[in-house]
Amino acid sequence: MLTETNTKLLQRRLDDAERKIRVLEDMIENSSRELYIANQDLKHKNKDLEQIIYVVSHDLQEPLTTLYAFLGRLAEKHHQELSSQGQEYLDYANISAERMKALIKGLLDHSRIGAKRIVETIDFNQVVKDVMLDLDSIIQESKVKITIENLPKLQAYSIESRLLFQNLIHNAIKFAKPGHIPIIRIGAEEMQTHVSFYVEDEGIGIEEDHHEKVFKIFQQLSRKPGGVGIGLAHCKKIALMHEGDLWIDNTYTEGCRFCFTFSKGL
Amino acid sequence: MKGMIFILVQDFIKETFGDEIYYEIMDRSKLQTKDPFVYPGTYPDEDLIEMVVKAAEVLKISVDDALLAFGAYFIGAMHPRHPEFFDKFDHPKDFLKSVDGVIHMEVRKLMKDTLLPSFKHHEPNENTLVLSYHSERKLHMLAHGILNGVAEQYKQHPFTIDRSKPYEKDGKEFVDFTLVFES
Ligand code: HEM
Repeated sequence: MLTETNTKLLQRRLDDAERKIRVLEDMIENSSRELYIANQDLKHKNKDLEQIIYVVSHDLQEPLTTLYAFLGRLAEKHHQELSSQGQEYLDYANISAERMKALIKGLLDHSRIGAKRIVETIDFNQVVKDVMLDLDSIIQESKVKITIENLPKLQAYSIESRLLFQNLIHNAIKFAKPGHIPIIRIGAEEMQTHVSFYVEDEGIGIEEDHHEKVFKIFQQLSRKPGGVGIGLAHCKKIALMHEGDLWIDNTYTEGCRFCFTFSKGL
Repeated sequence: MKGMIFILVQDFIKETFGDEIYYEIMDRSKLQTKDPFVYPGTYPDEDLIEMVVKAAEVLKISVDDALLAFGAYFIGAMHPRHPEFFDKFDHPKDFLKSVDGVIHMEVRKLMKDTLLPSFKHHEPNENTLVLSYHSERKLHMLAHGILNGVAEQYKQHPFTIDRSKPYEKDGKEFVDFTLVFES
């Protein structure tokens, strides 16, 4: 039975709870506002950064082109006059200029990812087939075995999706175990809000310490010819623009398994 | 001080002595804060002290004993809320060594406007851990209560707690807790 005191105490508890709810509601509202402002601020800063990357890489191209032209002329017209050491220096200068060109191109490509956002319904089986055509010569040469399992149709950005698969497949071939035929398995699983893809290989793998680092711009773990270490940074950006993420599965030990998610609600 | 601590003090009183005593204590407390305390809020330290002083008055115990009792309750209440801190360590010595560098560090990330105490530690020998407590709030009795609570949580590794008198070093006040472990 409820005594009078008990009823009073209960009433007080209820009042307390109601007042608490009101205070908490205010707090939530304030926090949401703060979050919104911080988010807008971040978006602006991100835009600024992209702009800087674009401008810098774009403007660096011009002096680089001039440098190239003069290096070329030097090699062409004054080759005879150069000592063997002079010629060696010229070779080094050329190699560095090449590398700089590749770095700048990498930056420009990176800043262009997501510049044009057109969502289309994409059949990912087709995406991978197209990529395999693009990579035909490397595929033939390496004799890679690629298996593809039930890839979905999904609303996504087509050029970027292709670039993502191209980078991951190319990497898997590039980092195969020496003397082994590369093996790649590609598949996907539908989750509630996202589709989760994987691209796994039986290659040399990536040490766990480097699982985060490889997604940063110009982080190269090994100096394999032909790369500057930006491919995976591109991939990360592409996963993020699909409201998903990209990471290396640290439970997989046969080689390397990249997992990435794309939102189903683009 | 964070609302979490205020709420835990209130929960402690309610659970141990019932609503009637709880409201008696709250009615006697002259608080600067007019709204009810909520978990993520930050409130004047004086309000906490006022609540503890009035609780001690109503319960006819000393303020030190009130802080000691609450400290022990605090750790018991933290265990189900933050099992990750406890699960990581099998031994209370390792748990306590992580207070500054892990536990309170995480608290700092999760909550804003915290002012956490510091617990420097050293181990004069294998069975002994000395924790030097410093805080502007000078709540070493609360710290002692918390250590009692830790002992309660890690019953399988009993230890004794010896509390030094407050002393000054480099213009700051410290209290040393010397813990001797049986194993
Ligand atoms: C187990 C998880 C723990 C959590 C989540 C936690 C969290 C907190 C929080 C939120 C405060 C309030 C800080 C503020 O309002 O600015 C606090 C204060 C305090 N904590 Fe912890 N704590 C934990 C464990 C410990 C342990 C093991 C000790 C002691 C060895 C300890 C000693 C203290 C003391 C003495 C204070 C009072 C503030 C002061 O002295 O200035 N805490 N803690």
